[in-house]
Amino acid sequence: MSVTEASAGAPPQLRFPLLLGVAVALLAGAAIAGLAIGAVPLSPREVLAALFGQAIESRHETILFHLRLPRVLLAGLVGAALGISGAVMQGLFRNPLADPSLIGVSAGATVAAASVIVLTGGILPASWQPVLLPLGAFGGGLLVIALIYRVALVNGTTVVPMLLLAGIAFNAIAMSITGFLVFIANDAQLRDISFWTFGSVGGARWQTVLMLAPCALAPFLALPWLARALDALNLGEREAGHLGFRVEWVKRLACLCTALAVGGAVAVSGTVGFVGLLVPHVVRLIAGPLHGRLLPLSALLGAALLIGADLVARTVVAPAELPLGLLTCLIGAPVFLSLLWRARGEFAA
Amino acid sequence: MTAGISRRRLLGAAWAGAALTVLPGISRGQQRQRIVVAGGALTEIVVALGAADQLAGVDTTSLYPAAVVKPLPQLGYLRTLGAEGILSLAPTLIIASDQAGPPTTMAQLRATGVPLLVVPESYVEPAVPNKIRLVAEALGRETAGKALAAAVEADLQAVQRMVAPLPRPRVLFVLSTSNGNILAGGQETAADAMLRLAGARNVITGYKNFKPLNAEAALAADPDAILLPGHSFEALGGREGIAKLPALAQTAAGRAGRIHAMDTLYMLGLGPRIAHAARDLCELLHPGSALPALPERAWHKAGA
Repeated sequence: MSVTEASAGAPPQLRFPLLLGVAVALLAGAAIAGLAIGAVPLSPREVLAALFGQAIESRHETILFHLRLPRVLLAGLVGAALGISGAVMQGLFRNPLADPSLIGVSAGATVAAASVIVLTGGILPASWQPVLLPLGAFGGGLLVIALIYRVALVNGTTVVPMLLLAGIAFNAIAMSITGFLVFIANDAQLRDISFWTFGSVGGARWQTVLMLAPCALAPFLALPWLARALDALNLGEREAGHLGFRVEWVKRLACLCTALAVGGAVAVSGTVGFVGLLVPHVVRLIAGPLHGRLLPLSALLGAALLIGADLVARTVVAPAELPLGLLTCLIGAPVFLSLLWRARGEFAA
Repeated sequence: MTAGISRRRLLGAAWAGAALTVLPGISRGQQRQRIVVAGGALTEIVVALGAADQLAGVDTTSLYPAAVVKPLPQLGYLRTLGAEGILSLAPTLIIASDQAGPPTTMAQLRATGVPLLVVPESYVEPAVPNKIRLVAEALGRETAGKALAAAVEADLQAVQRMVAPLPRPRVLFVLSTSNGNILAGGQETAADAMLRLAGARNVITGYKNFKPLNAEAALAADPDAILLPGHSFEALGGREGIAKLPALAQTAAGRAGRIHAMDTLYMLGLGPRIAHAARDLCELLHPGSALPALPERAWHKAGA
């Protein structure tokens, strides 16, 4: 298999186990760096000792186990959820520009988050905000995806172009509602809303990690089946049907997995840009279009990218922090461009 | 009876004297605090209480006094604080405005057990003396706090006496402009509070916070004077530039050129300099009123 692929032309596609190994190593490296580096200097020996259960200075233990570890795990989960969802969406829509925000999850979550930010402190007690914000964002994301899905459901089949266009319409509605909320917001709320849309995993606590984990891991359970189905779908809906796949169920499962994973990710971290769009493309350029490779590699690389970006976000201007969404684009886009540059012969052909 | 009272007074005075002489000794003997502050007014208060040398880091809204604040590590914006960043400064006390956030970071900080003082913000005086007392208590500088709060309160009362006989001009506060619309200060803003203290009335009574005001509404409000923060005044081309803005040109203030500016931080800081700022603003909005000066205060001159 690898021989034929390699002879087919540039870029040479490497063996999957090797790629998987590299991706796991990248993720592990990012996670270790994420644990070891931060505004408070901890020695690698101290970090290792603490991880293996030995006692270290209590202030450092707090920082490691209550701030850094949940933060790294949360960044990894969010990155994995966004990466794999992006790959699923691009496969489902057979469109390289598809990303999770297309089916309205991010927009719905943003409206809900902005509502919570504006309403708490006035109509609702301010102390409810930490609980209401993720719940509301999660619910908002799911609600909008359900509405879009309902519009695109014609005589029992999901019409993919309708899904796309309805997504655009709902995004526009969501944007104008958010705009109205921005209008009635006070100065402080306004800034909260705009920083929320930049994304951050700075609020990571163990509760947040545990809340997100089941949602973010949902697509992985469906992975083996979903991967082959999306490969078949690449040939066209009818062809996939002839190959014995129940296309309708594939679409529903893909939408459900994406809604859960991205809804959960957005709920705890705000909208982190471009991971869902860029990471699958990068993986496709390196590993080829088969979803059996694409989905796990997108998840691993997404996780590594987000952990790395968050590491930069919280160290480069320490003790302050940069918005995370800014860095995922800043790190991800040049990588994507350089890969695109090398593969441009393929696009011209 | 009188003898009893005077004895009690004497005792009280002795106590105060003892405290005054002992306090510096205690604070020298104490472990030096490392204080992290999020909130410009709170930083001013910490400095005014004489604890400038114990500051370990401040947020981006802490800009005064510049000489103290500039060299300190920056925590970033008040509402985007990071827990580890703050802890990396090894604080022994965190003083934060209730505007500080995000709430998740505040929860993380609470969980670490570092003493955290959250100071409520209010636009109704005596908000500033109250803030001073809270901060002073957390710093263990109650005596200095009482003196500072009393001085600010006395100055505020002096300003109220100056303001009492003056007319109440109707003022429009313009924060900035965007797309040609002016962003005007409504109720429950620092600008509204300062206008009230300075013996003026805010023409915007229909809404809270800062919102875009269209040209017709500005004309209908017809302010006697227009007030801008210094940075917007410069950016909009000074008095001539502002008088030509379509939304303002036809108002009484625009036609007469009654357009005033004041340093943003001084005017809207709501810190220990509030009384001096209110007095200066009052003079600005009541031309020819020749107000008496307030007593010179150390915290007022600190950065000038």
